[in-house]
Amino acid sequence: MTRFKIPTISTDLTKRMEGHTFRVIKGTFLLLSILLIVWIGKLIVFDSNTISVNAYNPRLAKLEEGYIRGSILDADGNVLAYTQMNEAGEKTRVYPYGKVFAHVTGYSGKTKTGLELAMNTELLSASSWLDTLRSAVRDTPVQGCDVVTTLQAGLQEKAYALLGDYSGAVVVSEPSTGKILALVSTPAFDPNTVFSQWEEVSQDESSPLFPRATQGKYAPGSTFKIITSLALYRTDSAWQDYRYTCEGETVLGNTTLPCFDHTVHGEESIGDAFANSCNTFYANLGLHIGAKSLRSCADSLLFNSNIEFVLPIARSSFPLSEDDTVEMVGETSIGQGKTMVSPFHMNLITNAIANEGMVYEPYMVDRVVTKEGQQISKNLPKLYGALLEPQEAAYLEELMAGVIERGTATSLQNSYCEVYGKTGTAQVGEGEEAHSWFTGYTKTNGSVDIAITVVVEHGAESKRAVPLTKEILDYYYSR
Amino acid sequence: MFNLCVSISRFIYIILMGIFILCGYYLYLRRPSERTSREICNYQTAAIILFNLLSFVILFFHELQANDWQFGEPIWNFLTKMAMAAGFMLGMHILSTTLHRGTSRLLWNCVFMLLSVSLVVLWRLKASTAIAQIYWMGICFLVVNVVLLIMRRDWVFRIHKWIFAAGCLGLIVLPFLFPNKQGGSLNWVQIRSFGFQPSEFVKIAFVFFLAKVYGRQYKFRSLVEATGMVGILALVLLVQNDLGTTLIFCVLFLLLIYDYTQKTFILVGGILGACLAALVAYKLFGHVRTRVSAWLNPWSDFEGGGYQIAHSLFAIVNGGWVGTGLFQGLPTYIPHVRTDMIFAAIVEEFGAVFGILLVMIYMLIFLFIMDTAKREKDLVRRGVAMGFGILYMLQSFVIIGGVIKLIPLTGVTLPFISYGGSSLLSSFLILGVLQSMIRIHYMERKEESSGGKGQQSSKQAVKAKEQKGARDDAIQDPYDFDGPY
Repeated sequence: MTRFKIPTISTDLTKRMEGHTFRVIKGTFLLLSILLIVWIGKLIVFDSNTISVNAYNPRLAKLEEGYIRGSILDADGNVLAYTQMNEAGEKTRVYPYGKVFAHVTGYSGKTKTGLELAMNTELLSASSWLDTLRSAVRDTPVQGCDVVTTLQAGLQEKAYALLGDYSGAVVVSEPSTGKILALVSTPAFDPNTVFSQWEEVSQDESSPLFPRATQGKYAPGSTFKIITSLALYRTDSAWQDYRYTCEGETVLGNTTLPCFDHTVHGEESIGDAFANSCNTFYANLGLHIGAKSLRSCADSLLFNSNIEFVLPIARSSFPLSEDDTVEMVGETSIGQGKTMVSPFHMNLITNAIANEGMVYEPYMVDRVVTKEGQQISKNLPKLYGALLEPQEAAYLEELMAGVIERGTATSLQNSYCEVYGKTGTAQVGEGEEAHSWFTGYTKTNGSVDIAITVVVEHGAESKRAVPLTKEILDYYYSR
Repeated sequence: MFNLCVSISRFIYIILMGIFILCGYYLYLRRPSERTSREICNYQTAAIILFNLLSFVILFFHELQANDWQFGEPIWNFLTKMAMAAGFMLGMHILSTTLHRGTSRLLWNCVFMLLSVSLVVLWRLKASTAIAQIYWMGICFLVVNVVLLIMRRDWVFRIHKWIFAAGCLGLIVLPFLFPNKQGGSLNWVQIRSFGFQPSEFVKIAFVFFLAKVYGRQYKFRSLVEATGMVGILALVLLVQNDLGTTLIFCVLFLLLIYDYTQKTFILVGGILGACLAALVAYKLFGHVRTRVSAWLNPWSDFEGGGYQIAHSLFAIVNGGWVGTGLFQGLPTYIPHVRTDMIFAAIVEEFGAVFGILLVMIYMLIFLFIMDTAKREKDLVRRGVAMGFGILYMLQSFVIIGGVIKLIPLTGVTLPFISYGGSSLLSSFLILGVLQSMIRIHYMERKEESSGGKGQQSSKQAVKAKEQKGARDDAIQDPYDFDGPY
C-alpha cells in the first residue's frame, strides 16, 4: 500500500518574487472584465428586442408618449387602425372596421395583441433621424411608420358578415405568393372599446378574445382524408387498384364506425371514396397503411411543428403512434381521434396542393412606409420549400376535383372558375352539433387564384361551410 | 429643446470618459516620463472637471424646468447645494494632489471620476441622497487623510495576525448582538439610529490577516489557520444571507493562497472545492436557490425572485449603446437602484458604451494596484496590496455581472459609486492604505537614490551597494525615477 503524501511546497521566497502567479491572477480578471464587456454588448445587440417588448416593462408606455403611433392599412389603402390626437394632445386609437379586423390588428393600450404587438417597433419608429430631430426641437411627438398589410378589406368584411352568429374562422390566401387576403375569426370583440368593456369581453363564454383562425385547434374531420389519401399514394404503388366495399358501417375493434347518415356507397376506388367522403373506406384504408406511415405523412405536412407567421400560430398536433389501438387508427384516418389542426395550417396544406407542392411562407405584412409614402421595408414572397412532390399534388388535385364534380360539394360548381376542395364534418361530442369544414382552392384558365379554408362551429347540419365558401367565391369573382 | 441638449450631452459624456480612459491606459501601459505623466494626469483632471460641469448644467436646467423657468427660493437652494458639491469636489482634488506628495495621482483620478459619476447619478435619482453622499465623501476624505498621516511608516503591517483575526470575528458577530429590526436583513448592525454593515470592514481586516499569513515562509500550519478562518467567516456570512461577500471572501482566500503556495493544483482544487461548496449551499439554503432560479429565468417568477434582475435588464436594454440621456429613462423603477443596482441606472441613461468604460476604469485600478503589489519587496505589503486590488475588482465584477445577468445577482455594492456610508468608508480606507503604501515605497526609493550619491556611513554604503543589485533590475521600472504617477 502506498502511503498518502502531503505534496511538498517550495519554501523558497525568491520564487514568489518572480510572480508567474501574478500573471495568472491578472489574466483571470482581465478575462472576467472582457466577459462583462462582451455580455453587455450581447444584451444590447441580441436580447434587446425580446426584453424591451415584455409586457411588464414600464418603459413601453413612456416610449408611446413620444410617438404618434402609425396606422395599419389593407392592400388597397383602407385604414384598419389609426391614432387620433385632439388639441390637448390626448391620443386615441381608432379601428374603423370595428370587430371585422379585431383579431388581425389586435388592440393597443396597457397591453397589446395582434399586429399592434408584432409590429410595435415599426409603428413606433420615426421615418428618419431628421424627423426625430425636428420633433425634439419643437417638443412634439414623432410620427410613427405605417404598416401596409396584404389583406383585402372587402373580402374580410364579406367573410365576417357571412359567418354571422356562428363561431368560426375563414382564411383566404394566395398560394402563388403566400399572401394572406382575409383572416377572420368569430365571435370578435370591438378593439375600440375593449379596455372599457374588459370585464364583459374577457368573461364572455363564447371567448371573443380568442383568435380562432390562428390559435383555434379543431378536429380536422373529413378534411384529414387529404392526408390519409396522400399516405396511400406514398406507401402503396398500386393505389389505383385499391378497392373497398362500403356497407354503411364498419366494425373496428370494439366500436362500430358509420358513414355519414349510414349511406351505403358500395365498392369504391380512392377517387369515389374521397368524393363521397366515405368513412368506412378511409378507416379501413388507415389500417391498410398503418400508423407509422400516417404519422410520417402528417409530420411532413408540418403537424407537430411550429409555423412561422407574424401572428402566433397554434401548433397542430398529431399524436398517433404505433402503440395506438385499431379504433384509434381508424378514427384518426377519418380526422377524428386526437388530431388537432388550426384553420391557418389547413389553409397552408391547401396552398401546397394548389401550387404543385411548393409552399410560400405565409405573410400578412406587405410593407412598412412613412406617412409620406416612402417605403422603409418590403416583404417579398419567400419560398418555404416543397411539402409535396408535383405528382402527389396532381393526384390530390384530381381527388379534390371529384368532390366538386360528383361528391359532397357539387353546389360549388360555377361558370367563372374551377374549384377543388374537400368538405369535412368534425364530431365534437355527444349531443352537440358537429363543426363544418371546407378547404379548397380555385383556378381560372389553369392558374391558381386563391386558397380558402372555412370552419363553422356547430354548423354541420346544414353543411354551412360549403354555401359560405360559395358566397365568398361569388363575391371574389364578381369584383 | 432641453431634451435635445440632453440627448447631445450623451455623446459628450462618452467622449469625456473615453479621453479619461485613454489617458489612464496610456499612463499605465507606456509609463512616460514624469513631465508627460503630469501632463496626462492634467488631461484626466480636465475630463473630470468638464464631466462635473456638464452634469451640473443639466441638473440645473432640469431643476429650472421643473420650476417653470422661474427663479425663486428652490432654485437658490439648489444652487447653494450645487456650489457646495462643486467646491467640495474641487477641494478634494486639489488637496489630494498637493498634500500627499508621493501618492499616485492616477489612482486618485480614477477614484474621483467614479465619485463624480456616483454624484450625478444619485442626484438624478434623488437629490437628497446625493447631498448625504457628499457629506459621507467629506468624512471619508478626512479618514483617508488620517490614514495617510498615521501610516507614514509601515507599523500597521507589523501588527500580529491574530489581532486582525480577532477583529474579523468581532465585527462579523455584531449583527447578531445588535440586529436591525426594521429591514430584516441579517448583515446590518443597528445601534440606536446609527446603522452600518460590518462585513464591509471585515473585508479589510481579513485582507490584512491573509497578508500576514502570506508574508511568512510557507508552513502547513498557517495554511490550516487561514483555511479555518475563511471557513468560519463564510459560514457566518451564508447564515446572514450575504452571498456576494461570501463569494468574494472565498475567491480572495483562494487567489492569495495560490500565490502563497505557488501551486496550480491549489487553484484548480480550490475552484473544484468552491463548486462543491456552491452545490451544497444550493441544496441547503432556500435563498441561494431563489437567486439561482431568478438568474436562470427571471421572467418566470417576475413578481418574486426575478423582479430585480428583470427591471435591471429593462433599463439596460432601454439605454442601448449611448443611453437615453439624463432624466430621459425610468431608472427609478429598478429596485435598490441607489445601492446595489446603480450600474443598471448608469447604463440606462449614459449608455452601454459608458458602462463598458466604467468596467475599464475598475480594470485599470486593479492592474495598477497589482503592479504596485508586484514591485513591493516586503511580502506582507505585497499581500495587502494584492488583496485590496483583487477586492475592488472582484466586488465590481460580482455586482456588475449580477446586474447584467451574467452571474446570479448577489447584493454587494459598486465601489465608490453605490450610495451608502459603510461601503464608501471601507472603499476609502482601502484607498488610504494603498496610497500610503505607494508613498512608503516612493520614500524608500528616494532615500536609496539619495544614498547612492555616497553621503552615508560605511555600513549604509555596503547596504546601499547590496541594494544596488536589486535596483538594477528595477531600473526598467520608471515608477522609481519618475514619481508615483
